[in-house]
Amino acid sequence: MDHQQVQVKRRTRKTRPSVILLDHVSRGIITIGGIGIILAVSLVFVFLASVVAPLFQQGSATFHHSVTLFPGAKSEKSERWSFIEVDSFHALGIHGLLNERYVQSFFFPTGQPLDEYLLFEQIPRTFTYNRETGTVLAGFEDGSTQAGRIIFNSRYLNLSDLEEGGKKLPDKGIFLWEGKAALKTQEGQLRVQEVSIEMEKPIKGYFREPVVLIDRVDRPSGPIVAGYYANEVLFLRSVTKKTNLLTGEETLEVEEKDIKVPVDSGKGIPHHFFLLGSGDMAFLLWKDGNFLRLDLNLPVATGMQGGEVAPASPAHLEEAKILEKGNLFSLLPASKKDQHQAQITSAVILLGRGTIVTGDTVGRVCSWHLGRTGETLTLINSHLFQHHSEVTSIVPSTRKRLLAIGYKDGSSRVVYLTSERVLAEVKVFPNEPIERVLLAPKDDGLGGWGENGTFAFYTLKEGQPEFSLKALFTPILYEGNAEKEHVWQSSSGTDSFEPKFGLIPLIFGTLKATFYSLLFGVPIALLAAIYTSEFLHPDLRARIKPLIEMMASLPSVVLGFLAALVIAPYVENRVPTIILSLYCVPFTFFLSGYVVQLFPKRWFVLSSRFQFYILLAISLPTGIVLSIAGGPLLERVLFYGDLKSWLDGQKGQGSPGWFLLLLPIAVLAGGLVIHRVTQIPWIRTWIESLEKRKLSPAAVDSLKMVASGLFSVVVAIGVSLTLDRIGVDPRNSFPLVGRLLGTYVQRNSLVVGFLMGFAIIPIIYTIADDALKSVPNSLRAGALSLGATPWQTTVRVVIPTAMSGLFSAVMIGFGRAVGETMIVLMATGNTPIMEWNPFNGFRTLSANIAVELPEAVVGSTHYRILFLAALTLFIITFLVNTIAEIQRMRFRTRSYQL
Amino acid sequence: MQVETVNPVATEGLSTERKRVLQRSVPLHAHGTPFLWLMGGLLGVALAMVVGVIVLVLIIGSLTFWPLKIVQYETLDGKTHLGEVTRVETYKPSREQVSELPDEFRKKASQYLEARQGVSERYLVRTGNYELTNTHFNWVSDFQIGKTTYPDWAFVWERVSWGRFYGIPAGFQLDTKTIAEGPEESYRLFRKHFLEVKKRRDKIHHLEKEVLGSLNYRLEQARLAVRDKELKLRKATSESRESLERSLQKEQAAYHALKEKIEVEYNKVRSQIEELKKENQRYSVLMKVSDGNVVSLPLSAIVRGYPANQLGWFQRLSIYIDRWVEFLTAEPREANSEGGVFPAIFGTVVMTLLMSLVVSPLGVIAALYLREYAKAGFLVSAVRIALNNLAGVPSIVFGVFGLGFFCYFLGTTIDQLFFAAKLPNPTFGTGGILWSSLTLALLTLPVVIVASEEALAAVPNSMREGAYACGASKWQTIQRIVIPRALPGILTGMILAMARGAGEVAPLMLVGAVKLAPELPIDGNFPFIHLERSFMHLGFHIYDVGFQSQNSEAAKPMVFTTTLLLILIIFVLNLAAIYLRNRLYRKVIARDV
Repeated sequence: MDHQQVQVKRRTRKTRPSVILLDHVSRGIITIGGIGIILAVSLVFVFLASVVAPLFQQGSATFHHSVTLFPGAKSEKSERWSFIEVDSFHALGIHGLLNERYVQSFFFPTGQPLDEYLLFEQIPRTFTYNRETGTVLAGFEDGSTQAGRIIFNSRYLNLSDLEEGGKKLPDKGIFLWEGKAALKTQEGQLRVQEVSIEMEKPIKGYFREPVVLIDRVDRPSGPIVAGYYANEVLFLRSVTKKTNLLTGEETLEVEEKDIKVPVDSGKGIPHHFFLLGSGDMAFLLWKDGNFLRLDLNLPVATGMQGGEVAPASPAHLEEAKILEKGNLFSLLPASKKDQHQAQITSAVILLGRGTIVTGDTVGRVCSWHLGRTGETLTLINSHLFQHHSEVTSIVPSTRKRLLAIGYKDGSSRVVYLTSERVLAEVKVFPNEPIERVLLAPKDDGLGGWGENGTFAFYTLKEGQPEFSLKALFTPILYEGNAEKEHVWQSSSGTDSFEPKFGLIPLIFGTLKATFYSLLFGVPIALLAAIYTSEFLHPDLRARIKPLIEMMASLPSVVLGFLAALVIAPYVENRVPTIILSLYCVPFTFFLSGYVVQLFPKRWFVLSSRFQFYILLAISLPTGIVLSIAGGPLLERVLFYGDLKSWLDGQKGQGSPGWFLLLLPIAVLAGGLVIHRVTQIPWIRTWIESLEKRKLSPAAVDSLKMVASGLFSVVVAIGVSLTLDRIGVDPRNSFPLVGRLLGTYVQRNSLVVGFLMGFAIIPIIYTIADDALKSVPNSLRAGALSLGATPWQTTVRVVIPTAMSGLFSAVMIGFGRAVGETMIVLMATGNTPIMEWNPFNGFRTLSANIAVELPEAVVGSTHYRILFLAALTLFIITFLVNTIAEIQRMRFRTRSYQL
Repeated sequence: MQVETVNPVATEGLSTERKRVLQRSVPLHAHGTPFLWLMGGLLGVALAMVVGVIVLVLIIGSLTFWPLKIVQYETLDGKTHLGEVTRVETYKPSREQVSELPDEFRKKASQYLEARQGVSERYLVRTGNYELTNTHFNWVSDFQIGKTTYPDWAFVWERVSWGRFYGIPAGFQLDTKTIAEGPEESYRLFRKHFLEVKKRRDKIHHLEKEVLGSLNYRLEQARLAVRDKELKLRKATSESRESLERSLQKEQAAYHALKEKIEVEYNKVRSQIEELKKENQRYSVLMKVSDGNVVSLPLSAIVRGYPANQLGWFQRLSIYIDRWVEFLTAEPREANSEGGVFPAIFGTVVMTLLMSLVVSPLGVIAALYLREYAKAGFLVSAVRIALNNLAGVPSIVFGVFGLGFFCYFLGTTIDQLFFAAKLPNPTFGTGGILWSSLTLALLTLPVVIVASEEALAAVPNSMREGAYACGASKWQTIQRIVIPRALPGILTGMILAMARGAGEVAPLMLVGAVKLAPELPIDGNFPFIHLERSFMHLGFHIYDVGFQSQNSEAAKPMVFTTTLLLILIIFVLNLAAIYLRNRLYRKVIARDV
């Protein structure tokens, strides 16, 4: 109202505080949120790496305590400390001496002796202790044997009852409670550890000779005890325990077989004896490395039921069949042999009774197993660990292929066989030999028992024993194999199974899947993109492009299902037709170009306008019909009427296979050669003279094509016949690549390649088309105005400019193919084979993860290796995509500059 | 339209004069016509592949529910096969197959084969009656067939278990008394009683699943409460022990009271169910099967039945529609190979919605930060490239991450903190719908971020500057100018992410999709939404039914229809994205300009 006043008064407009506040708040939220989300995404990488990282950690052994057991007890008579064992809580120990009838239990942390248990009535001549089952077994001078079991038991008491009277028990650690080793559990109970010993009755043998070696196998049907009498006779005793239902009296039913062992004279008594497998073979080993492997499956006549009548004399016994005879040291590879005369100091048999481990005086620990070469089994050295001091004691783990080794220089090692990894190494005694090593039942403790009774205990962290880069990426000699092999086999039904973590077959499978899908997808996607961008009418392009892009949104599970349940059975019945169509359909397209050229001008122009429609309506069906018609013909002419049995290798020679493999290369070469030949001046003038006379250029062009076609077919036939003559067959197994062609399996690489094409074609197509479209039009206009045809413009100007964009398209397609899971999982047999053969399956990293991860134990080596596989996939695709992205950006800036 | 064509050879033919000049100067191979045709042909192949797959799935998927005729083959060796022909194949029969035939027919069969060059057709006949024959399917070869008939009263029964049943009705039984004979009368009685039986069966199902289920749930909750108190007591110090002991006793008393109450209710419902079952068992149809025996088929076991060879077109259509309705709304039966996929549809939808609830705000915030707040520089462009590349990382890798991080790491921690009472049974420490949607959210995050960023970048700077000039704060500008303008792009990104998420299976196999989820993730028991539950998913359903199913031949139609459904859902989502983009573009941007 008052005009004057308004002009004078300065208007101060203040932003409302709420607006400012909101601005700050939103800025804060978005900044924190944005950074947080980016960090969260990088968490994927960090987390995967954090699960994988423990694989590379070394195991460790840290000193726990040291005590003296049996001070000075080692007498003249007892050669060795015979055994020491601890319970799984490291609370209660038990040890014994050979040539003694007693074992002694002791409080493990202090070595305080607790109880003495009588095992045997007489002093044993030989004694074995099986850690896995707790079985003790002794052989005596009078030819009898006795078995028993030493078991650690836990008894639980209620803590609240015990602590009622104000008596407080220590909360942590292991303590003595009423003269027993005890510890508290998490559930508020007291765990009291006790030793229980069950001894069976001694069993008398037929011979009254001393039993010098003994071993036992527990089979589901009952145990077999086998031993070696001093008179070179081997006995095999199966023992069945029978309980009388009325009286409750236990009787042992014994069946004995005796065989004469044909020992070379002068060799004396063997030093080690093992039953192999399920007791069908015996293995005798002398100190100097000589061994005998005997067949125990013979029907031996002398066995009598339950009697105590001794057979007349060993001379009448049947001789054992020798399966193998030799010297261990001569089996070692030349580089690892030793000039000095080594002596075997200790030998143990591993879980599953397939592998024997020996230690010798020159510090080698070698593992041996039977490998099949052809029909025969032979002993093979599988792994070797070298140390500079004599091996004194070896103890195998009860759960896996882990060994604790004691050496004469007082050091001790824990090693894992398959990965040849030394998990921990400690110097237990400065300069005193270890008499006996101890590996705690859960593989979490390592002990060394010295000559004068000192016992030192270390807590052991085994880390990830099965893992080593060597085990993952190099061929390994697995138990039962004669050759080093790449194998992936992570689990099996039995405990004694050796996990095989060779990643190479999986990587091979991934590459194979990628290769075949790119082989199929890249040409189609790139050429189709070039056609779309450069030659297709824009209206048509606007309709076709989204349609192909729609292919990208097809879920891969649908593609996998179609591959496995529709395409694979369909293809199986029409293999020759499908193979032929791979050649025939592109050729028909090519041919229709030539045919159209031959048309009179008006027709030619007309057909060129409707090119794409003609292709769809005439050429494609023609190609398909030709393949359907020609398929059986191809099978009859080239493959003796039966392609599948040819692939199996039952029929014929390799040349037809070579011919098909080489034809594409020959066609490319033929085209080039003919092109070059027609450039030679005199031929060129001759051709031009031809054109001047009667023939149209189109006809001449067609003639050239026919010539190059003939040329390439002749070359392909020639080369394949030559290869055949040399004796190279594509169905043979080649080093590195395996078979090029081989047995047909319903779900195979061909099918996967085709269906994976659906997944990668749209991606490559879209990116390539975008790249081609962003080549500036000025370049095209320039080339065309200089008189180049559109074809020449495309080949010489547009494609070279867009090259990096096209490259990045292929790279991104590669990234997609590498990680594709569902198609591969469903459409292949998922067997980890290493062959390039397009007619069989494979197992990829991604499918392997999908199959095995749900079953893998959390935190196990298997689990972590699967994470490693995922991390590998992550890194590969991330790198490939980054390279592609950088290429694309470079291309973008370049085309912008142009 | 065709005059504008850029085809080189087309322009060449325009005038005869120019043609001659061109002919001289440019050799024919410079036009590369054959190569052009080759490239065009390959584009055609790509196109044919897309169209082929979609048409294949469409046709097979939509045809599987169409009721087929029932055919009866009497083979030369004296067997009779009654059933539907599901597949026809040509093959070369081996010599043994012919020589197995009885003498008098051998000659005829071999003549037949000779005339066709050793190739025969064979039909896969779905003969059903698994409990009698131990097989669902039989192959019948052309040369073996003696007589082909289409019996008028051939019936197909779809059953609750044991698969289909084929035969001819011989009578109708009430309380083991045959009250009708002959197919026509039996069918009439069947129609008369079937609706009631079905109603009772539905009621039994409702009682068993909902009522008893919820009773069990309540009891379990009470038990967990007691267990929870017990655990607390164990950890407690001596001071708080007394009060805890008291509350434990209270809880225990409540539990026992509830248990008694529920047991009473439980028994009541049980007896109700028994009664209904008894009533249902009174009715049964007598069926004559192909080998002449008569079998009694209780009505309570029947889902659907019809005389296939008598149906008119409309009756077929109604059965067809009925089957689709069952497929979309019912639960699966017979190890997923029959029945419906409702739980899978439900699971897929809930999972996808949860995923988009998580991914949308996060993606938009990240895009806003990158585009509007972060200072442009090397780091931001590096982050951008990394995000872009993350979209190309295989989905299985995200699955591995989800399993390791969400299920085993986060889930186990949550279990120990909040669900200790249920241990060692995991609550969150295993695959579930929450972890699945979070995993997929992570998987689709790059898609949303990249799309949103592009949309934000497309908003011209002049509009922002205009807003600032008017005195708007940064947030006001973003909120009122930038986001509305970029909304179409952002929404498109979200829908594309949903489409990708709905079709992804590999990670779900690791983090929570299961072949059969007993309970839906949303139900009537408090707290109504159970994010820890595992769920069924359409994509996983395809994998499972197609590959893990025992009777895979019978499951095939199911897989095809599920595939069709999944593809339809994904295409609808994609089309929605396109539609929304166009519509919002017109509404928001066209208005501004």
